[in-house]
Amino acid sequence: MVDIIRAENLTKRYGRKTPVKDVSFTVREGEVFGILGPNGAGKTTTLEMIETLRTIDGGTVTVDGIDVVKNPKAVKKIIGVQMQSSAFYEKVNLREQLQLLAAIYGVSVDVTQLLSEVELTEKANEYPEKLSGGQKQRFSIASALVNQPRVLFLDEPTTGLDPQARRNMWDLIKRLQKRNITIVLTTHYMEEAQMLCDRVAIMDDGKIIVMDKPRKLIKNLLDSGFKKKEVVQQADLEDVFINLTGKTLRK
Amino acid sequence: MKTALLYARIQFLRVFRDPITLIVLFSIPLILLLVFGSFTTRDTDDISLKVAVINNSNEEFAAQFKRNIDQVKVLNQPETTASLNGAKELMKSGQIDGIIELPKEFGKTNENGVPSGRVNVVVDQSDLSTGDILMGVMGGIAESTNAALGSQPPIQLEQQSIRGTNARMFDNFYAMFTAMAIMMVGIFGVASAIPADKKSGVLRRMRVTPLRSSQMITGLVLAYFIVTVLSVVMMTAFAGLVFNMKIQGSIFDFGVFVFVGAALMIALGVMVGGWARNTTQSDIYGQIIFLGSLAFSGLWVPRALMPEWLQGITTYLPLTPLIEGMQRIVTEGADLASLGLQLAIMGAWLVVIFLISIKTFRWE
Repeated sequence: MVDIIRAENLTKRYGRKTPVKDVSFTVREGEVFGILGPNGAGKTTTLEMIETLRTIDGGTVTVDGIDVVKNPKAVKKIIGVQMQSSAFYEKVNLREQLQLLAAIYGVSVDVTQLLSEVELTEKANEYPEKLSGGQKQRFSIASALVNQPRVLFLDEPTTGLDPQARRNMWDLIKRLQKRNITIVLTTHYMEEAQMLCDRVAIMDDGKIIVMDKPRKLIKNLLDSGFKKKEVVQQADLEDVFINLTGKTLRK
Repeated sequence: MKTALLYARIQFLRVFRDPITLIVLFSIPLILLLVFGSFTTRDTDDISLKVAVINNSNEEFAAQFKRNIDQVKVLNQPETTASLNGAKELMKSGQIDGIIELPKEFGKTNENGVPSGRVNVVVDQSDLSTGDILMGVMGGIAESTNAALGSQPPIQLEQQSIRGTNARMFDNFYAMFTAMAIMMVGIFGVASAIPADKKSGVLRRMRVTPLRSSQMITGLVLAYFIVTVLSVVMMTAFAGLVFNMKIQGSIFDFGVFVFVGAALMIALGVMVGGWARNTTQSDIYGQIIFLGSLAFSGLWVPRALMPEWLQGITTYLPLTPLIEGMQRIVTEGADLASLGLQLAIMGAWLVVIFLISIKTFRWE
C-alpha cells in the first residue's frame, strides 16, 4: 500500500511549551489510522497541522505527495475535516450548507444522496442547531465528504454520543472505509480504536510512544508477561444497556 | 465570484431568518421615526404655547399690535409681567415657553409715514421646535399687519437664540434616523455576526476548505450592503407615504451618500467583529461606538448647541458627515460638490478602518 500521509519530525511550539515534539508517522492509503492518547497528548494539534489549520514549527508533512506548508491550497482540496465541535452556519439549512461547500470546492453535489449516506435525508431543510448530537456529528461527516476527499480527518467523532449513536457512527466509518477513503481519527475510547483502526499510534506528552496494529500491540503486551488482575467478564454494562435498549438510533 | 455571491446569499438569508436581528435592524429605526415624526408634525390646532408679551413701546400702534396677539388662540398668556427680565425668569423656571417683546421704538412712523418696528421673540435655546412654532405664528401676525399697512413690510420679526430654518423638523429626523439605521447594520449586524461565527467554530471549519478570506469578506459585505439598502428604502418609503417627506436634492446624490455611508459602517462592523474574540467583546465595543456616535454626532443633542471646540472635533466622527450630508441633501437640496468635506471625511475613515481591519482580523 502507498503512504498517503508522511509526517517527519513534526513539531509545534507555543512559547516554552512544545505540545508536539518530533512526531513521525505514515498513513497508508485506504486504512483507518487512529491517534490515541490522554487529553493534552497533542493529538488534535498534530491533526490540525496536517489539516493546514496550524502553522508547522518544525519538520514536514505531505498529503498525497503535496507538502502542507508549501501548498496548503492543494491539500485543502483533497482532504475532508470533521472537527471536535460540529461547526455550521446557524439559520442555514443542511441542504444550503452542503451547496455552499460544493461551491467553495467548485464541485457539484447530490445533496439528497450525500444526506442519505449519513441517514439525514429527512433533515435536509432543518437548521443544524435543531439536530441532536449524533445527527450533528453525522452531518459534520457529510459536509466533510462534499469534495470526495482522499483523506478524511475525524477528531473524536463519538465523544459525547449515546451508545446507539456511537454504534451508528462506527457503522458509518466502516462504510466509508469500504469506499477506500483513508481515515485518520483521534479517540479516547480504546474499544473504538480496536474495532475500527487498522493501525494506531499512541501519543503522550507530545510524542508517539508506539505505533502498530491494535492486535499486534496487544500481543506484544501479552508476550511480555502481562496479565490482567481480574478475569474479564463475558459482558459489561454497555452490553447490558444495548441489550435492553436496542441498537436503534434515537432522535 | 460565484462563491462570494453564494456566500452573500447565505449571509443575507441568515439575517432574514433571525427575528431578533430583523427587529434590531429594521424595526427600531422605523419606530423612532414614527414616534418622533408624529409629535413633530402635529397639527397647529392642538398646539398651545405659553408666552409673555412685553410691550415697552408707548405708541398706539404697539398697543393695537399687542391686542392682535392677545386674540391669537395658540398663544396663551398665563402670567402677566411688565418687564423683560421678569419674563425671562418665568421662562427659566419653565412657566412660559417664549417671550414676545415689542421694543421702545416699536410702532414709530418710518420715512414712508407708516408705523414700523422689530418684534423680538425669545425662546429657550434647547427647545428648537417651540422656537419654530412661535416664529411661524408671529410670522403670520406680522404678515397680516404688513398687508394692512401697505406694500413695504414695515414690521420685521427677529428671532433670538435659535437659527431659523425652513426645513420641517421631520425631514431632519428622517435623515438622522436613516443614518442611524445605516450605522446599526454595521454595528449590530456585521460586528456581531463575525464573532458569533467564531464562537460556533464555523469560521475555523471554513479555513480547512479552499474558501478565501477575500471571498468570505466580499460575500459578507455584499449581504449586509443589501440589508442596508432595504432598510434605507423602507425608511424612505415610510417617511414619504406617512409623513409626506420629500428629498429636495437629487436621488442620485442621496444614493451616493447612502452607498459611501453603508460601506463605511459595514467596514466599521468588520473591524470590530473581526477583532473581537467573542460576541461579548463585539457587543461592548459596538455599543461604545454606537452610543458615542449618537451622543456626539447630533442625534441626542444638536451639534449647533455644543461648544465650538466640541463641534470642531465631532465634525470628524464617522457618523457626523453621514448625518450632515443626508440632512443637507434632504432638506436643502445640496449637491455632492457642496458636500466635498463630508465625503472626504467618510472616505478617509473608510481607508483607515479598512487598513486596521486587515491588521487586526482574527479567525478564532
